[in-house]
Amino acid sequence: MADGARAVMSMDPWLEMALPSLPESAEICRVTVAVFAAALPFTLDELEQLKVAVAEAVGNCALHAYPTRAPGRVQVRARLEAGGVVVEVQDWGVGIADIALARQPDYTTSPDPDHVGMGFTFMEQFTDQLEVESVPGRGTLVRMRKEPAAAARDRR
Amino acid sequence: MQITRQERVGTLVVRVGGELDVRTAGAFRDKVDELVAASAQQRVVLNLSRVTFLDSTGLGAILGRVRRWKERDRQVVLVPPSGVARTVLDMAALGRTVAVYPSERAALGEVAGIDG
Repeated sequence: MADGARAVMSMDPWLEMALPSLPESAEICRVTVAVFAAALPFTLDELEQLKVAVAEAVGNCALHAYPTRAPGRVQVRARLEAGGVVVEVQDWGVGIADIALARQPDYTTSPDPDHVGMGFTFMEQFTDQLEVESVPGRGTLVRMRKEPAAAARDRR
Repeated sequence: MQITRQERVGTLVVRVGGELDVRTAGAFRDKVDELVAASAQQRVVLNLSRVTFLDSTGLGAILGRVRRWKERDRQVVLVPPSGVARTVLDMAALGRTVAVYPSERAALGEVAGIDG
């Protein structure tokens, strides 16, 4: 019984979704992840910030990951871990050759003058931690972590 | 996303509500460009106060509209959304390129004030 209890205790809640790389998926994912993360004491504004960050990551998949064979597969995983939420957005698309460049504000590969290249800026701004792994031709993994500001404050 | 318009003396008011994002930005662009092109008013108040969600694609569409309408010699004034959508808008330093007012009333008053 002790073992069973420990197993349950150590099992952080998680969420997994697989979707097509379409704009609609950005909406589905941001709403679902926000509902999932609402188990933590986030403020409404923090949940809105999380929604923007998730929407940007999934939106990037819809806009850039599969230029010639859209829609491709997008996988979104979220888990509650050490008082925060970790969200991973993965695709198996074209990848990013220069991640540092792609993360620069205003950088965009799109010829559309309406594309502002702020996606990574918003992911960075609205989460506590952002990691991007990518292999050209193989795909991209974006990992974001966000904690409720109240929880971060209580620990200090 | 909801878009309505109101013609006033000298001013076209375009009100946008709902989610302006990677899914809706294209329809927003086409619809509001059409409204502005069809209006004889020289000034445009783009009222975004009922926008509930804004992402970088929606932001780009807004910036693109402001740029395009100014190129076509319209005077553009903006009423921002609130909450995180406002933060998104502010991060583009939009205030440098377009006048931003806290309410439609203030925007209209200011627009009228410039003329008269």
